[in-house]
Amino acid sequence: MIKNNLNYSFALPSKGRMRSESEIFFNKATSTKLHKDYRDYFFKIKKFNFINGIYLHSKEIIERIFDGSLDAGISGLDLLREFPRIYQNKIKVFKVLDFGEANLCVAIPNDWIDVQTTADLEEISYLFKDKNNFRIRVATKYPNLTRKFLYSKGITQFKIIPSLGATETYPYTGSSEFIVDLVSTGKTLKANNLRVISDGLILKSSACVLVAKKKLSDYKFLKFLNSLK
Amino acid sequence: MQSTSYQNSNSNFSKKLFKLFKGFKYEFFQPSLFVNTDYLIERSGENFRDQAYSFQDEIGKNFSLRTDLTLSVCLNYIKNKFKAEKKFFYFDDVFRKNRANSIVTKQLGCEIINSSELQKSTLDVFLTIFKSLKIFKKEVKNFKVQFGDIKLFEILIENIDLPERWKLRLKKHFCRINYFEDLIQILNSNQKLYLKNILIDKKKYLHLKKFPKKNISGRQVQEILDRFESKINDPRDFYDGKKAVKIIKGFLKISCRLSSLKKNLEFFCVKNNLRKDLFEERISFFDQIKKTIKQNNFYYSSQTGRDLEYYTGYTFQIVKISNKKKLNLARGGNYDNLFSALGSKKKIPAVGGAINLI
Repeated sequence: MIKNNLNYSFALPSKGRMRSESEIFFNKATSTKLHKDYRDYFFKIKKFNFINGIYLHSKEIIERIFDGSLDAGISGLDLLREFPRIYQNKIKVFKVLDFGEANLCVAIPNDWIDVQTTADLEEISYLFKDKNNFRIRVATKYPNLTRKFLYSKGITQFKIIPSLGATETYPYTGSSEFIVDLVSTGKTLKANNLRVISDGLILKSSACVLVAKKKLSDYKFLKFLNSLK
Repeated sequence: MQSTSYQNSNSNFSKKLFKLFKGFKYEFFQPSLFVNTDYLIERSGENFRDQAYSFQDEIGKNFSLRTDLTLSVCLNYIKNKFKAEKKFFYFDDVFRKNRANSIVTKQLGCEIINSSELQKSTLDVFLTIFKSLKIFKKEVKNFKVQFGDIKLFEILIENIDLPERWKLRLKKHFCRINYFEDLIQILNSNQKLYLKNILIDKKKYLHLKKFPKKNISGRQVQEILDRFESKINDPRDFYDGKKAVKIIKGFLKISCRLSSLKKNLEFFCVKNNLRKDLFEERISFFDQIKKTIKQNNFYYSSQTGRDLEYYTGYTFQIVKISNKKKLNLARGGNYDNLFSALGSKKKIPAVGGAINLI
């Protein structure tokens, strides 16, 4: 995207519910309608014509704010927290929004009736390693948050299986023993015969307005951001 | 990268150290720059993943720049299939992220592996490290030596009235300070949070009983049922953990001069209705230290060495106190489980210590 010194860039998620709900929020907050280009890649806001709008993948929004080619955008808190600390040093969570809400949780097979807490999981992990000669496997799209959480709960004997999607099917297919995934209604988990353990909440996530910290001192841009509140 | 290996260094300092360690009959060891990341994590836990500079080779194997030198010494011992007691010393760089001053630290240390007299070897390592520090006369002004013993905590836990599962759990997580605090809180409040779930699961329990050989995500139903049964019979929910927590908290507060340790521990035992001589066998080691070196700045603290997962027995830490700030000059201790974690079938006791030269 061509940037000039007078303009600012703002990204919205390019797909799914995050996109439609971000657009609804944006329309409401700016009291105007977004003008999309014919390719559906870019948008403009009449009231704030100094904003260059772009649609990007939620993860890419964070990458671009970090590398300085984007000034702000809407993305998920879970995605930001999964990035290394250096990203979080450069990006501010400007506003937590009331959509895209989901909890990142530890979920286990429903029939593991002896497991209620992370303390049980910790005990199981040792038994599992002794019996099978390999570590208990956890499938997740969030390896960093998962590793940090499990270690904080004393669970050290595990192996992370990186997942790109349909994580809830991993225990069924034998690719992992349990999972860490985003849960919103819990229906998907239930359908896959999984349940969240009692103290297995890792992060409460939702959509957020994320801003490059260095842009926070820019009065004109800050005024625009404040209008989103 | 600046080469700081002992062999390349011509300074008087290095010569003095070499003479000193040779005098204590240590062999010089030149560690390799990289270690297998899996070994590092196995040994030192997840905290070290954040501290290590890691790389991946073309086939996907992960390597890290060494974060300390003990691991290299142990791997060398296993690789060479040594069987007898071995004494090594080293002087080289270690690399860690998140350092306030520098990512590269020079580390000077020594290890005694497979010793038949572990108390004697621990004293040997401590004396070597202590005397090496004396080479830096300016550094060792206003210093304090703190001793600890992880085994004392284990003895305490074995002698207080707690369900077996809790004993195991507390011992296993003693080194994870935050999580240990969480456990203590659960024990103290005697939480019955999950009783409701257990009652619901009883229905499932009866259903599962029909298929004991079925496998559910890598676990056999019979194994799940056995554990469930032992859990509902566990007296955890009905046990008054407050008393145990009070004793544990009291123990963790013990911090005194080494000269008054025996008196303090005896007082603690009497106060908590424990055997007066409960710790006597272990603390005889501290008497040996007092006899060997006459110093009044030697202390004991139940917390010393607790933060490092691999210490299993006696620990020591030499700290410099300047402007109310503590600077860690040297530390060491027993680590009896490391060799098993690195794949050794035999349990090999070991003790080591290192000085951080910033």
